[in-house]
Amino acid sequence: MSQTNTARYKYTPDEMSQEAFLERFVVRQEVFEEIFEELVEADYSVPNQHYIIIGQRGQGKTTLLRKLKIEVEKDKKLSKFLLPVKFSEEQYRVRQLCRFWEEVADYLQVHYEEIFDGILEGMEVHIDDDNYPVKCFSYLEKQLKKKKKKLLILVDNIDEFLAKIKPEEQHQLREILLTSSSFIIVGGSTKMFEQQYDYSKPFYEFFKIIRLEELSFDESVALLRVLGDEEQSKKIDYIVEHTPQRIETLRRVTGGVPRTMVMLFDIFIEDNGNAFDDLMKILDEVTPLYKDRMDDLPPVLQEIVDTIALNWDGMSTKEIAKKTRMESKAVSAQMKQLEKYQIVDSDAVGKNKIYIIKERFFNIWYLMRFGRKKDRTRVEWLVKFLLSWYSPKELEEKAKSFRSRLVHGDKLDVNYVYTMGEALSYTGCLGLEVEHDLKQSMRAFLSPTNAEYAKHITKSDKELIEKANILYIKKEFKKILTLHLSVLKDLRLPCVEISQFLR
Amino acid sequence: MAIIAGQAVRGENFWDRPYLMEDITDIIESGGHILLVAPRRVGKTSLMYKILDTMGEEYVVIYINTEAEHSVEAFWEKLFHELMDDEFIGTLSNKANNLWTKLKSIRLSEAGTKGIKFGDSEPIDYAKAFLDLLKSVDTDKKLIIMLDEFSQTIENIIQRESIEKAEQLLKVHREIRQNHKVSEKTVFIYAGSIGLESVVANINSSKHINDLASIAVPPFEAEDAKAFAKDLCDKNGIAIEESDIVYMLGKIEWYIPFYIQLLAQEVKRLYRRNPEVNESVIDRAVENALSNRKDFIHWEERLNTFSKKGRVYAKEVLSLISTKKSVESKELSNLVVKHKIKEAEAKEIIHALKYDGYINNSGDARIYRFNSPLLRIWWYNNVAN
Ligand SMILES: Nc1ncnc2c1ncn2[C@@H]1O[C@H](COP(=O)(O)OP(=O)(O)OP(=O)(O)O)[C@@H](O)[C@H]1O
Ligand SMILES: [Mg+2]
Repeated sequence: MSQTNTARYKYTPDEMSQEAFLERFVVRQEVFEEIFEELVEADYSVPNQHYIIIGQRGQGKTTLLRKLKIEVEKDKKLSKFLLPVKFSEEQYRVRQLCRFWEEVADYLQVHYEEIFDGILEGMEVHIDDDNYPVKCFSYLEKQLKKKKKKLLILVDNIDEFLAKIKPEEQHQLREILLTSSSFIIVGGSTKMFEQQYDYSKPFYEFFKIIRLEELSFDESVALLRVLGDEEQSKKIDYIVEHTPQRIETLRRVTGGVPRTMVMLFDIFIEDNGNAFDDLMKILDEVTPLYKDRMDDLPPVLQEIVDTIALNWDGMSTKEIAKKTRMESKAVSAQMKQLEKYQIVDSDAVGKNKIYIIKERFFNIWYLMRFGRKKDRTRVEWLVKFLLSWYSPKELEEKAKSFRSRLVHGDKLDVNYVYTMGEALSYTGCLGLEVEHDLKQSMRAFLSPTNAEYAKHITKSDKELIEKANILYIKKEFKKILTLHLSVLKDLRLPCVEISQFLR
Repeated sequence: MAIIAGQAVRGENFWDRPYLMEDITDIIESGGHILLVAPRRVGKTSLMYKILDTMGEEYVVIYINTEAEHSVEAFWEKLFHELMDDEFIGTLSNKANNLWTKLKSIRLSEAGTKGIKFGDSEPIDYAKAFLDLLKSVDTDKKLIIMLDEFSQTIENIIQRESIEKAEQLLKVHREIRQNHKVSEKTVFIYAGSIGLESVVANINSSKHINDLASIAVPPFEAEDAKAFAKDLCDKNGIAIEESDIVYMLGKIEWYIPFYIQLLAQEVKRLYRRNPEVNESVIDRAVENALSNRKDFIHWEERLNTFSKKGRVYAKEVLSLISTKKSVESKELSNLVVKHKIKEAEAKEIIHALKYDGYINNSGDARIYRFNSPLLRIWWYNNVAN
């Protein structure tokens, strides 16, 4: 099995070696070509079009930016004058336009030292001038002209930056974009700009928008095949041949987002929880961005998003209205907003619309973060994946082998043990004994290392039934009812009828 | 010819309409100053670039964009600096020697001092410096100064400084234009993505610009549109039948080059995945183009310059027309009553909507419709419903 480290490379394209990276660039070729061809054919003596690649997290923006950088550097003609400048992840925190140019200058003097030595200092000479922000760019442009170079500025999360700069600076940037022929920007962005709730000057019109669509079935297969080792490729071939609908399910349920798809696929294929661990890390990394996204919404919308996210499955307007205690009409109006902001997606079912959180990865994040422990919602996403991926029989097999690894004392991630174990049990497909044994082993495994998690393990069905029986003997029917209701609330037993076990 | 939808076009990407350029040269030769008038995205900036790139033999041309300037002082400073720009000065060296020498000497005198201050360390009066410069140079060639986004600058000044300051700036401009010494040698061309006339009318200053010769930049005629679309497809390797071009233009109706570019861009994208064009491909291209909010949103935002009541009225007018496709003027009168808006203001708004390229009543004066089905559909989907 692969090591944690190598597995992580899959999800963070910037960390892969160039060779491995290029080998694995098998999808979105046509998007790359669209931009690259235009870079090749552009007339660099006049201001050019700029680009923004829009896609959810994990949709492949960073990958495309890296691919562009590499191919421009490899291209004989372009590399003579067009220098890629790639902003790193943290640089999206840049809040001022002049800081942006400073970052560019800094990059130039580090990466193209022979040509641009000292350019940042040259720029900063003007730092005390009144109109430093303007001079900043004109200085940079002068140097570029002098050296006969153009820049390809690659900025991930460009929306973060554009949203932060002040109105005057937006005007300055507009003016620069309109008049300067010194650079082309290619940005990556997770949101459509209409999500910025109050931009007034439409300066995004200088950008050509390129939307990353969900992967097709064939693309999904191609991607999964190329990412793993030989052993994994074989497994995929086997699945494609025998149960292709699984890949289709995976694709649909992840919205065809490459990274989410690969990650969940790995969680199924692997047994040791490395992939799961990676998932947790990535969820941690996206936390600030996702938090911002929620905070940006007005409270009513936050509440609706919360309701739908915790439900994981789609909800109708009526259901949302009931849960939020709002009027259906009011909910409808709000849903329109959410659709506009591309936060939810809707599906028409008869006359009704069913709403779902569009970005499934965001939904997973939301559940893992805000779903209560000891509550089905927290692991609901995984339950659904398991149910769609495995047959009931296979689920039981999986539970058994999972348990034997616990008993065996394999080195497993605690969060993984907790989440996977709970999810397996919530599938409702495990036999009474199998489920009970699983929970017992989970407790035994978790108690010494993480008492907190151990405490949150839900009771097995067998334990519940025993408890009910004791109450029955004591004739405490009211308590049985409460117990029954609490079980119903979690709907843990679609396959097994509780009542049949009650004497 | 590359497909460019958004950025102003230049060089070989510009589809030339010689008659427009001739209109402009006529006015320039007769000593007039020009206001380029057109709704958004019709091609004002591109036309200015065309002037910059093609009239340089006979004139000294400079393009200045002042949309980032928020004060009168900053405006003049910007103008001054653009004239002092190395590159601009460089273009003068063997064709406008007097100007070249003059600018060089000014540059020298300010070179040593960083904050651009003269000897007594008083900050420069850029307006004066600019005017003195224009008066004193005796160039062999006429100077064309193009001020793009001038209306935005005026708007910025109204917001940041005051109406009086904005008015004053307009007045000074008029004085400069009417100064013979300047006018003999200099031509001003103004443009902006918000109409200068309406900005100026809002502060009751129309009199300060009524000496300008307005040149309307019209949409393409059908023949131009067809030839342009054909050329754009050919040069981008898209094999397309003439009948499909006609079908595509039918989706646009109001042939501003931007819309043609927009659809060509989407067609190319689909073509890359499956090299074939037919009506259903064009339908999809239209649908995709309409999903790009950024290409249409300015139509909605433009209404924010109306009063609150006016905005609501204008929105409803447009939504009604977008729903019914064509609307009689008496129905619009009903809305006037409903919104309790003043007759005169309503009239003003309908006028603005026509003027800014939303709607027209040119077939039958009593019947209003959208200029382009593209905008109509967008409006119907995104604003009306
Ligand atoms: N002559 C032309 N040939 C080809 N395309 C053109 C031409 N003029 C304009 N366009 C198209 O229209 C778009 C907008 O052009 P431009 O920026 O010049 O318009 P504008 O009137 O200055 O707009 P704004 O009101 O936003 O300032 C360009 O991106 C291009 O797609
Ligand atoms: Mg313009």
